[in-house]
Amino acid sequence: MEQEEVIIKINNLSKIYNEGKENEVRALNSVSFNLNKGEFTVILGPSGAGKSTLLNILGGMDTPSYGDFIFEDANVSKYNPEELTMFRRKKIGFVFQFYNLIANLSAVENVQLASALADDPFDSYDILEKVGLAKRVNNFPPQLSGGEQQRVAIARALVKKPQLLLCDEPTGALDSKTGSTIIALLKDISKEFNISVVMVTHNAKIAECAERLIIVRDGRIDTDTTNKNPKKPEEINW
Amino acid sequence: MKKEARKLLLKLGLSTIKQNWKQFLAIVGIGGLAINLFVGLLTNASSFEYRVHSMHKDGNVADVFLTLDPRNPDPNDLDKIQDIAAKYGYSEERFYTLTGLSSKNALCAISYSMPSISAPSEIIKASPKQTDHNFFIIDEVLCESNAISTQTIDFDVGKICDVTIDTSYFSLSEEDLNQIDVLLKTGAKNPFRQDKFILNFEITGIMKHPENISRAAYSPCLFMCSNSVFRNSLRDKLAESFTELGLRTIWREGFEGILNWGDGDPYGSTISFPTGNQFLMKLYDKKNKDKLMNELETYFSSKAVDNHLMLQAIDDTSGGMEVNQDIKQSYQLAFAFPLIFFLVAILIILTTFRQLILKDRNQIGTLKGLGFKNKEIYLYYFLLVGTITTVSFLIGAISGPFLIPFLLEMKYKILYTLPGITIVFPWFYAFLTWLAFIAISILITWYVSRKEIKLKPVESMRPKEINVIFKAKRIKKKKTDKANTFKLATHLAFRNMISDPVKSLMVLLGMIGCTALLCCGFGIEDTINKGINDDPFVHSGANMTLAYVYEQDNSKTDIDFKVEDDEGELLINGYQPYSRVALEINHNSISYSSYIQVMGEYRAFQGDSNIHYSMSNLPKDSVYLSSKVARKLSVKVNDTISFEYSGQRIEAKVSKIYDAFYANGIMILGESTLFSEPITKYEGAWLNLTNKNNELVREKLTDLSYVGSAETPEGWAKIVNDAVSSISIITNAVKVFALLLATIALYNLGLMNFNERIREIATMKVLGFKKKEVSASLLIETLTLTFVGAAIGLTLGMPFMVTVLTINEVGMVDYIYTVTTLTYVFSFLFTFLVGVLINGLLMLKIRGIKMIESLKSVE
Repeated sequence: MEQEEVIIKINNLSKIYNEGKENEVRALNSVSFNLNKGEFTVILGPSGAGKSTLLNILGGMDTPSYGDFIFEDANVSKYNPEELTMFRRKKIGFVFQFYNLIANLSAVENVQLASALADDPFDSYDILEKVGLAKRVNNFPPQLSGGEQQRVAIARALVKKPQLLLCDEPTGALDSKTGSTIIALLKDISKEFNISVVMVTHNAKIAECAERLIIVRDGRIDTDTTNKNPKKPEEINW
Repeated sequence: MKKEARKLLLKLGLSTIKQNWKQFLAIVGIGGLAINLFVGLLTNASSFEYRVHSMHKDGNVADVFLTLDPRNPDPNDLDKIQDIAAKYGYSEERFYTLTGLSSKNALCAISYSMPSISAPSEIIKASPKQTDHNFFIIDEVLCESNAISTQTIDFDVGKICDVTIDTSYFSLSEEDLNQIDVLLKTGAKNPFRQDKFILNFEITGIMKHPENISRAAYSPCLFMCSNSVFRNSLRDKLAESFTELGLRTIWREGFEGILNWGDGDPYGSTISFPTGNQFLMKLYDKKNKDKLMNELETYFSSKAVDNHLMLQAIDDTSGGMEVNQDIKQSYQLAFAFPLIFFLVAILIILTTFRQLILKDRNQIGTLKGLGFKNKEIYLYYFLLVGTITTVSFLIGAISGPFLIPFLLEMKYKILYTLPGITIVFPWFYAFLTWLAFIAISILITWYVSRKEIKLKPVESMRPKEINVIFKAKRIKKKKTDKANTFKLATHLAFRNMISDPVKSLMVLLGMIGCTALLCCGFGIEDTINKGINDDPFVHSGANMTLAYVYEQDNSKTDIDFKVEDDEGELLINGYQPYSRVALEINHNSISYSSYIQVMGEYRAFQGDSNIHYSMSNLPKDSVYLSSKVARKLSVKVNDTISFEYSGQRIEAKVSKIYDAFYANGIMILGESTLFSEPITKYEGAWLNLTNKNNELVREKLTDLSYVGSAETPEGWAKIVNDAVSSISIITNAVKVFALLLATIALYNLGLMNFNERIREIATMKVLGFKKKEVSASLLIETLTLTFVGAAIGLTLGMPFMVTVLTINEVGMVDYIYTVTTLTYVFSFLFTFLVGVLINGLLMLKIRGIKMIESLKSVE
């Protein structure tokens, strides 16, 4: 069996808002786990469980209150804002629920916006072709459907050749058929480019596609399981 | 709407104001500025008009002035004129002529008693000696040190001053003079044989006079003298030259009808001198002005010899025209200047409320879902905009009247003698402005909110569909991926500009206004500097300009200013004499008050290339005329103008029109053939110094009793600059308003852009963009608009400057409009710098954007 390469180590990670005050909230409470390279991981949990907080910390958009976030032997939790910027630039791809495309840039320009930052990016046209938008490269976001916009967002995240692709409810604003194709796309990408994909969702059905499933509840990891036989997205009954 | 609902909306409104206070502050700021300027300038205009009318009313200024030729009196005129005047009102007579008051040009008004028409508006100071029949009152202006005066005059009650009387008024023939000669004391010269003689008067009072509203610096100032005071002084003067017997003979018997004096004097003559040569008429009904004037015209035209010199209504006198023009200009200024601020204010309201409505989409849907009617939601936004514009109006309308008139008073103090400022608040216009401001704001708010408010609640609560204004390009072949952040930022910036034309237009207008105003402000300085630097008088080619007192017994026809240093070396190489006297210039029945510059023989500068070109090669048989006077009188080269100088009526051909800033008027040679006798007496001189010690020369010259002042070209430049100091006030005000306009417009746009694009900025931050990279597209957008606006603004700088200077015309100077390259460069860079600074400040906010929170919500 091939030795799995650990890309992320999370040790006793906590995120506390308004610490010491009456309205203190423990969004994450001593969470620990590792993520392997090329793995398709789903973080599942109800609203307010802390899954998005965890994703934001993994993406360098937020910092933990306590604990360590080790990415390829570097302790990201100790990074200053400039180092976090460079971390996001070089290592991370982010896909949002509501796409967050820039309306006045065409599809290809939205992708180029990210590729312009990378040292060795994919070709923006190629990556759009890969996500099935070869004929829509010059369209502006409002001219695209929700699924198409999410594909552009995925292309934008991928073009930098990130080592970690983080997806926050990427199918939340899509219908089931489109959602299914998006998940399929993410899984393909994970395998083809050997990118670790972490997807946050509250939809338990989607979790059936995951190679690894982490269930978060009340800021703690409830279960962390590996699925040897994940379902294909099209097999899922949404 | 129920009371609770009203309370809820009120709370909502207050919360909206709290959340958007910076943008609302921009509306209050720019709207307040526009209102401040508009109401302030209107108050200034009304106050100025009121003060002029007060002066006229307090002094009961004449409605019509009829001036006769004092050298050509007709005994029948008095009754006839009084009869005509009595049909429409009443009249008084006085002797009125241009004289010299201690070497300064002044108008002399002699009357038997204190007049009831054109009386002093206010007696500021009076000696106990002063009575209704015993007075010599001068205007307060003459007591002030005056920037334009070449003399230092120290006037006050009780002090003695000199009045120069032209002997031609006595109309003595050679035969008459011969008869008088025998009455002289032994060795004494006959004073009537001189062109002028000087009488001494003790000042009994200081006044403000309704005919002296225009200050003496620009038009001769009128002083008032009673007949008895005048005669006593004349008698004292004649007593110096004539024997007692001779004096009695002249006074009592003599030359009756020639000297025309006597009524009521101790020597018992029967005819008075001065004979009244000016009739002041007051109308019961001002509508009859034309009838009265027509009848008088008819009377004089029917006479064998028409001896009337001038028939004018108060508004047609040069002083009256100047004041009326300024009142008109001050009203024009109120309507022209604040316009650009109003436009920007309206655009700011438009963009701010459009953004607010979009932000409030969900809230609008919720309110509708709760059951609020469309009109109630409209009312909420109308009240919001109405409150903001009313606050803006109140700030502007209260501050304007207490700021602008006092700022402009600096100008009026230089130009006019007026009572203290009276704030005449233009209630009607202010109310109209408030109504208009509110109406426009409500209209704008209705326009930007109508589509959103009409939506169904469910539609309002959905994300707004973004209108696509850019079409996707057809894909011909796969392009090479040559992405770079700058290129993308540029694309983004340009598309943002195009997709929001109103917002872009607002910045453009702000920048156009700022640059045009700056260009205008600095351009005014350029114009004044050019005027001073090129003026024939300021830069006559001389090292020093001298003003000296013409003295009867020291004719100075061949004065020799021998100024030596301690080693006995002469410090003055030579001089060229000149005179500068105020007069009326006529052409085709139009008259204009200006000056005549009589140039003496070129002694020191003959053939000297340093002499100013405008004064060289003056012909003997014609005159040069300054371009301002030529324009005012519609005179072209080779036209003929007429004027009166030294008792002579002269008609002269204009052989050249020259540009001058200060040296306006006629330029003529003293030895011109147009004079019946060459002019040999002057009151000023240009000196050619050895340049060894100019300050020493100045000190030595001013020590001479007959020298009034000695000025270097730099000193002259300062004097002329001081004369136009009112313009400097406008200039500085224009610059301050330019910067305020740019700051508010740019800050508002920057803030709006920033708020609209928080999500976009957060996305870029997530992608790994650094702060400066995120700033790029925002900066490119604002700075491109700043660049384009500034470029357009530069083209408007000159017309704007011409408008401001035309509205603020200063009678004595002529602007040769100039805007230097440096001004263009400076105005452009200054605007651009303001743009960079404000955007720089806004960019600091990028660090504060929280990625997670900004990206959480639905667009």
